Amino acid sequence: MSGGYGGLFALRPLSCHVDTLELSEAAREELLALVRSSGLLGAAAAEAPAASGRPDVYHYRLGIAHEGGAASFAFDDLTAPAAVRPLLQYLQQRAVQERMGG
Amino acid sequence: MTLHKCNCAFIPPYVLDNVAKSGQEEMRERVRATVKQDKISRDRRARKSLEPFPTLPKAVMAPPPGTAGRTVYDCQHLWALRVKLVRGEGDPVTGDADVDQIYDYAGVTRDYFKSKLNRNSIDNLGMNLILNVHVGVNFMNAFWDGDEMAFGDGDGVIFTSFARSLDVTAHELTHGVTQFTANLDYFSQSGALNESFSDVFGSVITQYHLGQDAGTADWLIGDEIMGPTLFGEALRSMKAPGTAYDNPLLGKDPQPDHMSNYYAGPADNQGVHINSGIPNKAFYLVAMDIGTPKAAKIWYHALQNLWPTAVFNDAVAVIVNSARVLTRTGEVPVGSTQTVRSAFRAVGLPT
Repeated sequence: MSGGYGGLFALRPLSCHVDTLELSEAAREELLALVRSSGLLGAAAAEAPAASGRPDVYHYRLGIAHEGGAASFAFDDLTAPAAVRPLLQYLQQRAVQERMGG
Repeated sequence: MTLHKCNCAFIPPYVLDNVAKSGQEEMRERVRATVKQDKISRDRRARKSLEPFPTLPKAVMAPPPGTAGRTVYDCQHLWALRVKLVRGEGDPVTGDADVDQIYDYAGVTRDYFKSKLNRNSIDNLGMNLILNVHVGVNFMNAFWDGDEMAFGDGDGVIFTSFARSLDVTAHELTHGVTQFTANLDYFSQSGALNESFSDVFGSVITQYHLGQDAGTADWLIGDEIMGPTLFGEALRSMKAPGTAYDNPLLGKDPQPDHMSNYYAGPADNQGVHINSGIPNKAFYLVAMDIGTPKAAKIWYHALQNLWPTAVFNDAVAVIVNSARVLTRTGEVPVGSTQTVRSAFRAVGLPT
């Protein structure tokens, strides 16, 4: 994640990596529910057509790897589907905590 | 299953047909206003058959198209725009701090452009101002989408509400003005100029509203929206680019204040929020010499004479020429041309 009004994280994007095998059962279920409700598991990878070209939007890149394969997606604030937002929110909070040493 | 979030990639912007979109929007708004008016008329007729209801609350209506009216929508924390119309032009306060603040700040910005620069709203044709607040959940951003403005509440920890900052409101509205004037591509040097013009008028309008001048202004961008975690930091400094923040979360402010430190990498659409520090500093230097209102006149004149692919050297030439034109008409003091040229030399321009 980078960009926005502040042009934040431009040189060091806010990022995190989550392995569900390393999560507690409750945390794993929470994340898997977010992934399922995002609708991305069955979706084709969308690397390219994600930019609106509009000022001050955040840009997001998201990769999902599982036993059935892997796909990566790119969005910005204008192109991110509403269903994906809770997952992006979860990852953003996690990345902020990691960077703040929490 | 493994889930990871990768680094952001550079994505080039698309060039959209703004004129057509503007036309569609105007039509949409006209239809919406007509439908609303029809409903209100029907309601009034229905009421006439009964007793009058003098205490009925006034319906919230979008202002007629082309009147530079403000229309505020509460997006109710959904990831969508125009969810619920809550305040139209001239309507009383709602009690929602974000709704009322954005209404006021959009008014300050609109009135500045009208009274000081003789510009009739974003498109100079009285385009209505559509403002969306409470967008998304803990959304830490504000943006102009080509037709309207969107403001998140922030997370309350890193950022507070983006709707409660005049800097932010004027910055986003100016992206609209730029779209209808120079229409600078949001990429590389033209994108950095686009960002810089928004920072310039964000700061100019804040100074205007607070009764400040170049010497008393803080020249900080985004300092009002910093939450408790980053309180005291800012997002950019026009006076001293590169000094706005330095902390574990955001890292260090990467803005250069001189072409010798120009960022040539791919991030941030090739540095639109990074290299904007260079023209920002030039504006600050000019404002310190001839005053912010006169400097703003020069920059606004130049904005109307730039073009989508303009680079820094083009901007220097156009801004210097604007200073010359406005000196001839007596709108800026004699010596302004030399001040502008000197300010750009101080930041290493032209190259």
